Amino acid sequence: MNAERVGSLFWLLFGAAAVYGSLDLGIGTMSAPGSGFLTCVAGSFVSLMALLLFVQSFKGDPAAQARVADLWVGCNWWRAIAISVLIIIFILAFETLGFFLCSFILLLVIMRWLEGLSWTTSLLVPIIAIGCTYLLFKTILKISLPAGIFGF
Amino acid sequence: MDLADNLITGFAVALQPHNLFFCFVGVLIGTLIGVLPGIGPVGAMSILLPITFGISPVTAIIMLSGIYYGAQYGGSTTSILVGIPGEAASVVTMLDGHQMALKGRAGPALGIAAFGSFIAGTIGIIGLMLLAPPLASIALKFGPPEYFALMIMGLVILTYLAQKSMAKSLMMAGVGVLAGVVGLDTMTGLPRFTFGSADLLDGIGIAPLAMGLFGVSEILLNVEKTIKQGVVVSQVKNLLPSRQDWKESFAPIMRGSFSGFLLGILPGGGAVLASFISYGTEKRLSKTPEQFGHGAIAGVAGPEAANNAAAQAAFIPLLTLGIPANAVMGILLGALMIHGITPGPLMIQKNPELFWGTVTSMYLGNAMLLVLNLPLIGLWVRLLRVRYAVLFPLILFIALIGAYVINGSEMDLYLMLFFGVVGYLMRKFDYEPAPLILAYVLSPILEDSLRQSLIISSGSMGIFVSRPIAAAFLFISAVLLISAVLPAIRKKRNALVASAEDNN
Repeated sequence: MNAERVGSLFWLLFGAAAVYGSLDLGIGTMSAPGSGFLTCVAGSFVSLMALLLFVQSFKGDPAAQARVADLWVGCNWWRAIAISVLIIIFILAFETLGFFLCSFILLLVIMRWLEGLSWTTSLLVPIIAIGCTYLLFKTILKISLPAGIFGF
Repeated sequence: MDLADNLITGFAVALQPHNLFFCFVGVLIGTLIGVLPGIGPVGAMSILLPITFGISPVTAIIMLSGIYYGAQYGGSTTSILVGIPGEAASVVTMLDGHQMALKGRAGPALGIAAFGSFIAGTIGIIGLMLLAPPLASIALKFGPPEYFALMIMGLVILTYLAQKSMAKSLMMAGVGVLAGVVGLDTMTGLPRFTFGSADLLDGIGIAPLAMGLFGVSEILLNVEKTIKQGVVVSQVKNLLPSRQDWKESFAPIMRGSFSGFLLGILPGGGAVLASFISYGTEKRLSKTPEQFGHGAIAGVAGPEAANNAAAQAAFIPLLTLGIPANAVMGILLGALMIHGITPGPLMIQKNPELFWGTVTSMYLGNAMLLVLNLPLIGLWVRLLRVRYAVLFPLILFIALIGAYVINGSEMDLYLMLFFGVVGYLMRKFDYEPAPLILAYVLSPILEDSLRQSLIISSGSMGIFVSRPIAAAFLFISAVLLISAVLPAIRKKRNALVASAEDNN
């Protein structure tokens, strides 16, 4: 699949969805623009530009001929996915497990198992970073951080 | 109040111990992120935005501004010593700066970069000080149509100067406008695109959006690549440039300062473009152009001066018109609004302490940067050896905690991750996130001014062409759009972009 076409088709649909949503909100009239007025204008504009890009992709411009799979050639894409999954797990567990435990596990997993750093670095750096962050947010700025089920 | 009174007011604010401290913290963080490849000023400022919530608006802006202009200084260190640009505006500095370092002249290269930055930064501040108040007085005459036209012009210039396809940039600006309308409509009270979530009634926060698009996406892109640790030139001697070095550099510094300042005022112009144009100018004017690319000191002095002057000038449209010139200024606008301050022509009158305090803090910040970048160069050299494997988990961790503490809401974390993935895919597919964030910040003002204009004119679009200032702004926008599609100009523009990418 041509990457330029896939991208432009996505934005074409996105713009169309925005226009559809704006109709629900009410476009109003020219003398009394409604809540959906700007959304309708911007959505139409996005779709128009996307259509232009879609058409341009057939013109043979070498920069627009890459396939979607080419964009990930030579990349360790699984690492980006692993980080995203770790972030999701962090968010899901953050309020339950609390700031200290959750942050420590996240940093340890990334540093030790994803990046293969030594145990000393993987333990020491998170402890210092978490300590400094706690000091900054909780002690200096008085912003509350979740304590979690263990109470810390 | 005359200039002297204003300066006294400004220094009274900037010299308060806590403001001095946060100014130092800002320039220190700025230098740090400038030195370290992998995170730019936009990402760092958005990640650190939540920290400013607990401090006063003027202190917050002093610190955030310090990060921005500090990054311009720090970026040159990495470019010169490692041959990898610490941030985008330092790409050009690398060409001759690293060659100088390889020839054993790292000291003078770093020295002239720091002194050039200091001189240009100071010229930029003086320009800002002299130009902002009269510009704000003119802007007081602006009504909704003028504001609408000005914002359209800003977005068009930004996309015109975009590195990638102009159509893609314009489209991203449209997406940014759409992201900005999420939440309650201030005029009708109707919720828009909230999908039943109470967290979205206030709209998408600038912090999760910017952190996602610039911070998380950058991490996701970097972790899938093998980041090569550059060879650090650690022998740094004779930081003070010689008389001959000064002779070769003085004129380029001056030219870079003035051209950088003028380009910095333009929306979308900014530091990157200023440094490229300065390099081209110096090469053309040089009696020995063949030395450029092989360690010409003028090739370091001019672009470094230009990018620093541009960084200071970018504050002018923000502080006088409330229009951010680039994505960094967009974050600053967001920060000001979070603190209940709307930048614009009335800001200088209503909040003189904030305006003059920020401007004068830049003098102090520039002096701090000179100290940080020259005598402490050894520290930065050591820091350059820290591996990305250690850095990125820490950046990610600070971003996550930062996004959470703003509202104490998990929704902001999900939003940050969502925009992180969106930003990652956008960059993969060659879409720039800068127009998106800028349009997102401008969206509420754009919508209000458009609706107010149409209500005033009873629905006639003629209001945008019958008022001379608005008509002039729209005329410039139209000329730029038309010129971008004319084959001859498009060719030139593409060639300029290609040469910039080759240098990258």
